[in-house]
Amino acid sequence: MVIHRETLEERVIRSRDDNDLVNSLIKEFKPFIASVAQKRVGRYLEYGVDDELSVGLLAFREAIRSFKEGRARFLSFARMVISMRLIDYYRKLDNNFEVLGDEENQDLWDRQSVEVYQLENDEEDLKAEVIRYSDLLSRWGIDMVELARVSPRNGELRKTYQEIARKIAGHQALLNSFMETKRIPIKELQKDFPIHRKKLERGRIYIIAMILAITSGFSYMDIGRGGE
Amino acid sequence: MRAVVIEIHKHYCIAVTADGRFVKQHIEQGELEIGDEITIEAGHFVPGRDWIKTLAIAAAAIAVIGFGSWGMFRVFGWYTPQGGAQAAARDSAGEEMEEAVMMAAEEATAEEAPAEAEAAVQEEDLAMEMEQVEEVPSGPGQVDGDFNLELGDVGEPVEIVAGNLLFLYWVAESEEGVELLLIIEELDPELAFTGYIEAVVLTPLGEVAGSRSFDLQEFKRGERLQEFIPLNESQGTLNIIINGVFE
Repeated sequence: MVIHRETLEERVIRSRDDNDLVNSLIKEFKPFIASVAQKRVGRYLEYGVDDELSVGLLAFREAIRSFKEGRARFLSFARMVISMRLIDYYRKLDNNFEVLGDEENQDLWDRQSVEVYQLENDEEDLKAEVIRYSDLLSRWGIDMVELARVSPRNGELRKTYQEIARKIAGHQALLNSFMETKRIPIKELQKDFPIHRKKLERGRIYIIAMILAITSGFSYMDIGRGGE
Repeated sequence: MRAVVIEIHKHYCIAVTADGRFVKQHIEQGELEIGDEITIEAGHFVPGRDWIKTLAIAAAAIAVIGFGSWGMFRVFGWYTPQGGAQAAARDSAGEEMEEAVMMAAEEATAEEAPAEAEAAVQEEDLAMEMEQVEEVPSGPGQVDGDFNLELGDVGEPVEIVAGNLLFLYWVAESEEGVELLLIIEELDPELAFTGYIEAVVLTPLGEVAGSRSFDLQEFKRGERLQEFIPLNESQGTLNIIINGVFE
């Protein structure tokens, strides 16, 4: 059986005529929108505080509506639209801001378009994967700062937890039970892994993060391929 | 080490490495985008805030093991050849007392055994979950390496394991000025370190703000080095050089 994983571009096209799907995409991509805006303005921005992020959200919505499949990767396109709308925003704020003529404005669009469209596809794929994975963790209630805190620094312990995650992800019954209960099947695991119960419980958040990495196909990590 | 940024905060980001390690990394504002790949220097990290818990667990583990050993000594002290001879010399009232003590001791030992096992697990986890410096391998043998550590915020301790040594340090501010408190301990009970350790604090401009060096002979578990290094400012890098042998 061939499993088709929907690309981000396909999702965008499918979402376009459904407000709920558009809102869901925007919610998922809020961290990305913020990071693009921050990089553009060169400082940290906060939702509800900085107007630039409202501009970014509107621009992202505009990007979803106006995206044309086949011309570019969606993230490149969205990044460009956010950047341009921020320029517009600053231009309106500051009367001294250098206003470009229509021709120059078009040049800028074209120049930026060429620049962003030339980004490596792999890089865009990775970004899309990171956003999807990050959203998944957040939907499971996993706080990233906490995850970094409990992430094992010791390589051996990390490998053990990853092996456990692979075991769960690769075993249909265990995976179903995990997805339904959101709990790690400790008793079943202890048959195969001579590991102290406390240590398993302590690694809970990390193991869940690893299972989600495997099941969501987060390719940056080697975890799904056995760590090698 | 390469890592991909998965979340951005005001002064730091969370990134994940290809081998599945989630790290908190200091960044400049507006520098990165989610999904960007960054390089993380080994041993260069923003400190965690769980040091109080860590130290509390360590103290609890030491206390349980300490009291456990004391209890065992009390119990088995009666049954050493010398203790036995003394017991034989006692009258029957003494024997009854010994029996009562023995029963009490057996009860106490039964209660202490799981606690000691738990403490051992906690102590093992403690060492395993600390930040490890990859340039300095653990176990016996020659070590010759150096690594950089970021000074944490004032009053925020940082702990890191290099080889078999634990480095604990924090920046302290007082009326006299800014100082770095550095504590070094051996972790492996079966190994001792002979050699030298040099700690150099560099300012953000790369100038030496202060340094200390230690010549050590069979530095073993239970011993502790503790030094204050005066600093000009609270920001900078702590460069540690280790050269010697664990045996």
